[in-house]
Amino acid sequence: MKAFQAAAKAALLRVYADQAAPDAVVDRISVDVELKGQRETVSLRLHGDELSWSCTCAQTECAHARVALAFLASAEPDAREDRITEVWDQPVVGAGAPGERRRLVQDDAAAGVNRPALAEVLEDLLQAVVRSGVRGGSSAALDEALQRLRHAAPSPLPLAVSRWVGRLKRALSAHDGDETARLLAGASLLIDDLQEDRPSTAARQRIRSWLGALDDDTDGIVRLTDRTLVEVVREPLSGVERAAVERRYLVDLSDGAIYREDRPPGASSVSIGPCPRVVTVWLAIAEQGAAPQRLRLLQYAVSPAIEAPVWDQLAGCAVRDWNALLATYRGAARAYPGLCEPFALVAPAKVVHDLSPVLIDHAGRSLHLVHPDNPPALRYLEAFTAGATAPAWVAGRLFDRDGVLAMAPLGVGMMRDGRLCYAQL
Amino acid sequence: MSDAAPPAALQALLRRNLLAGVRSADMAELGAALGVPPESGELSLAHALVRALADANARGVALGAEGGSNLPREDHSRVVDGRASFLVRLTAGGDQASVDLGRIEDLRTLLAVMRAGSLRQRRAATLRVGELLAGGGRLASDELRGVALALLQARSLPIAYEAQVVCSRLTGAEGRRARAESQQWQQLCEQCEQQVRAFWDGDLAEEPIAALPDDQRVQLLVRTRDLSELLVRHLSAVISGADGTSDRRARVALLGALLHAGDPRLLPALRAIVEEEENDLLVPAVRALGRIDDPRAHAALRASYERTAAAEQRLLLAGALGIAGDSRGLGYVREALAAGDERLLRFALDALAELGGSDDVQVVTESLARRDPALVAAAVRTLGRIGDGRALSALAEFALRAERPALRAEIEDALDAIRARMELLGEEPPAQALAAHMVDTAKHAALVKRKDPAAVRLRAQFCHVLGKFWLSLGAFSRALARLETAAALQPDWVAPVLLEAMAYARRSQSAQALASFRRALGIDRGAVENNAAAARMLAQAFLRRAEAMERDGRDDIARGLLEEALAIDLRRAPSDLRFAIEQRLHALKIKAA
Repeated sequence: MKAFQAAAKAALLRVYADQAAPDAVVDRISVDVELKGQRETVSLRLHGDELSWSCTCAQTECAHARVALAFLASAEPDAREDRITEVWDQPVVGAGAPGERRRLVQDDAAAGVNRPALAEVLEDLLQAVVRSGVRGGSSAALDEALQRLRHAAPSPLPLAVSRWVGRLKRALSAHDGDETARLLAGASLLIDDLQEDRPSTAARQRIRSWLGALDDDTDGIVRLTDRTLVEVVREPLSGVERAAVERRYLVDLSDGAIYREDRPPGASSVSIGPCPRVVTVWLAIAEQGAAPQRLRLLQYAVSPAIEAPVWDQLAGCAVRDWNALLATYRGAARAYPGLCEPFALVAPAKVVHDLSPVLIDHAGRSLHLVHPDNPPALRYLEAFTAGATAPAWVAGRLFDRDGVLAMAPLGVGMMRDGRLCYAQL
Repeated sequence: MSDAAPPAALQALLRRNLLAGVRSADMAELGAALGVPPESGELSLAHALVRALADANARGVALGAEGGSNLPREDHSRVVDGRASFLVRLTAGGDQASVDLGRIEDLRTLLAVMRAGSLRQRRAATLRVGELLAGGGRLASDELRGVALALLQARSLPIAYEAQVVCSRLTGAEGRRARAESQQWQQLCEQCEQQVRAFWDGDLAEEPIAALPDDQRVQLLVRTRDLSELLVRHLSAVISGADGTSDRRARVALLGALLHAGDPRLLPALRAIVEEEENDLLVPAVRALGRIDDPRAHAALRASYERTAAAEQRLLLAGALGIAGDSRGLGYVREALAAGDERLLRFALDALAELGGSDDVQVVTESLARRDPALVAAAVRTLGRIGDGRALSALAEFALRAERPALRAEIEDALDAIRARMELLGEEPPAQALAAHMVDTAKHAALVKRKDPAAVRLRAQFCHVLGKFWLSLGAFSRALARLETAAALQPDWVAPVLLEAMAYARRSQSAQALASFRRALGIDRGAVENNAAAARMLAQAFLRRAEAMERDGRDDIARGLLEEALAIDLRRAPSDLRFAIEQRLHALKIKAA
């Protein structure tokens, strides 16, 4: 502590010597503690005269907190066992010890979640971004809050939380205010939901969308039986780590409903089979929540052979009216702002090749195709559909940029010589 | 939530505050706009701000106007090898196309491209040969024999698929054999399809492709591009680990067998493996992905290269990018090769085979002295792929010492590729007497380079002076040997190479002069272009060589040479020479049209 104090005094004199001290209150500090080769961050917060703390090891009264408190109290710990490394270090989310990273291999259940702790971390995160501003990008306080979020969230980290963190980091690095607002609004709703003693149905659905199935959850689960689904595309999505989620999109041929299967890369926790495939479902459960609904296949059979009538049925499920698409998107964006990544299967009347390809519906309305993560996909799509008025259908993730609805195309079906040709982009 | 849209001014205020960060001074105004009482605190304000802005944005989303997208397009630019030549500019109609292989009717050129071009060029040239065969009637019997021989040689190589397609169009025994093989392949496919259906129906426990004997699996997968959708989806499931039975070893084995598949339908599964970055799977996946001619493959490899730190993987990715004409990894590969880490040399040499140029001949030639047979074979292949004439003598001498027949075969292939490449570049191998000197040069340079850099520079200057001296006495061979030594000792020094080029040009050896001028341009373009005598001789060498090629009926190569000459800044060359080059090119274009 003394060494830090001396260094701080020297730094003040060196950098801020001619500046008056601003009228400010310091109510929280973070201390990085390295103990037995493991580094953890202890956050200490002063409420009036009372000091509270939390540690990224997620244990109460841990040894790290003891070291940090001793450090602040100028009672230096035994150098043999403890070593304080840095104050206001900027930890990199996802760059923990190998053991920690393995914990991110997710089962995605909300068992054992500490709701008040999670709500508090999210509040800190919200406040950190709003204070520093989106243009400020990442900050020490934000990184620290994200690190704490990983520990406060259920372990293994739910895929939805991982995906949300990935999107937030990306939005901040791109200085995208609208996307950041949407993600934080989702967090804001979750904070309220977590703080309710008896959450409403809508709140329970939101919590489920974030944290997975709840311990006492029965009403948010829908059983599906005797259905035929077609997996149209799958895509890797970034989360806490790059490519942290593999998302598979399935279309129910009976009603056109769209479901998703999420899995961490390499995990065998989801159904088998290539993409595309036909899945004959005898029993599955769908979690009600953010669209597309998450599906768990329990009893099913898979076939990589897709016959022409199945392709025809799939084409029949495609949306042909962009206004309907827009209404669905707006609804999803408002209901689940932090998790909203709707998927659509659309059948355009024609395609216009402008700066980027534009899908036109029967009423002449436009839907832009843009793929920020995989730009060559558009080139491939243009080559694949060259010479035709329009593909039979295009499947992709919907998003908006600068207030305009767009689609990141992931797959395309094209009629050639009377049969459907499929390409995953 | 109300359905009424908030005023634009409020939305702008919220956005501005979120972007810049909410300061204490802004809180009162923001709180009033959001209807949050001042005593509610900062956290309540933050909640209200993000919710209001998100809701306003969601309600404001609209469909775009046609042509109104301001979203960014893909950057099509690639970092490509700067060597200008007929060969480099040859493409299969891709994004660098300036010479359309579909228009070339000269079989000699096409066969040379099949032996020495990039993977894309070799595939396209093979298919073009097939088109010419299908056109029929115009090929003499000796030409047909040459084609058959070249195709047979190519069948075990990365263009085996195309070669097999073309072979089946041949008449005679070779054609009949190829057609019989196609029939067998068809039967094998049908059998595999039935088994794959049974596997997914749960009637077959063992994964059917892994259950095939090795030779049948290779026979099946060599023509992956002709496989049915069902089989390709099944292969994708197995390599992704989504078939529910295959273990890691089986996945690695299948990925290895798909090395030359080149089927874009496998791309999503391969890309997913590369994303996951698990080393044992990544290595064969990168190799297979690099051989798929598809912009999505290039983008996936580029992204992976830019985020990968592990040296082996990075070298592998650099090589895979090199296949697509992206030379961004060249510097890294050269550094790895110079570092001499035995563990990485094999990867570096493989990558250099796709990326290297004449500057790398010296260092790769030095690798021929290694003890590890795998490294030596890799060095031989790399020299073959680089295709620089200076490697001919080193390889020829090495062939005399090679004991293993497999290595001798590799050397023969490499020599063949180098000659083919030189043919396409309009160059000729150095004379035998000079070649002997050049082997000594390589050894000499390798020995001296281990010494102090200042001493090496001094030695290079001494050799340069000595080279000049021998030239002034007319001792051409000795002079060239000294100049080569100087260039080998100090590869970034243009003077000895330029002197050598001008010496060749003075002796009217245009083919050899071309090679040296190209090397000099690669080292210091400005030094060549700003030297009036050098610019004149360079223009003359290109023109003379183009005329010779045209006389020999090699119009495509002649045109390539003239285009290459006109891409050089020849303002210091006599204007009548420039005019003559333009006229000759014009005449060739009219002839081609």
